[in-house]
Amino acid sequence: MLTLSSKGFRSLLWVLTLSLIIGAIAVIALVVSLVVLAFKGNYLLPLVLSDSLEVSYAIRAGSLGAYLVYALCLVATIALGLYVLFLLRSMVFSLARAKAFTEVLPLQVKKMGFAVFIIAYARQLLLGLVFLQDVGALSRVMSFRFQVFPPMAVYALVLLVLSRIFTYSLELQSEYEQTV
Amino acid sequence: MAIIIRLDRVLADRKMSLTSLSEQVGITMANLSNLKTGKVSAIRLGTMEAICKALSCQPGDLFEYREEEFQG
Repeated sequence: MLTLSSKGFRSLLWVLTLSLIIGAIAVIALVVSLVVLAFKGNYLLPLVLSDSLEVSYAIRAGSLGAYLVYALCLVATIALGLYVLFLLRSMVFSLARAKAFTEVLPLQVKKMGFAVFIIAYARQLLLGLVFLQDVGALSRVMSFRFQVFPPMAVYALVLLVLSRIFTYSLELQSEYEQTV
Repeated sequence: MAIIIRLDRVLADRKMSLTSLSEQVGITMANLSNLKTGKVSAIRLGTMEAICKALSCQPGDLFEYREEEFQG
């Protein structure tokens, strides 16, 4: 069986584990703050754009219903992102133990691909929900346009193709191992 | 599988052990054991040549084809 072993993988594993723990704590904190804001009647929408962009003033939902929908979508999207991180950690863990090609690897990559695919459109949904609210001065400089094929969807397709390649590689490896 | 490997029969005829064959052919005991029990899916021509040379036999002595009955 093809094996890989590197101290670098172990360091990466520690980084990913730490990121997962911090991410999980952050999600819990976000959920708590969203619930508290809902109870206070302050329908503030946490909005983080890509590439480190932020909106410098508060955007609020027009109603509790809109706020709850946005909050649920936001938490679900971030949780899905953590799941992708968890899958990545599992793959690195397998590599760190010098077991490169295992039977679960193609399935993990496939799951990552589907998760990234959903996140790609969930992010658009979140932005769409924000721009359905009163965004004030932001509407003068920005607007939302739905992308049928966002860039993240391309990454997701790459992961799905990679999963198929790994499946075929495992079949070849199995056939090789059963050849004397 | 429809191909049955008769390595054990040929080994018994030649009064040779699996260990001895493994040393002569140069493949591991594990692989030879898998071959003997039919757990392999393919065999290289080089391996077949080495086995036939060690056992002084023909490839046909090692393999038997038995048509599988359809179980419906």
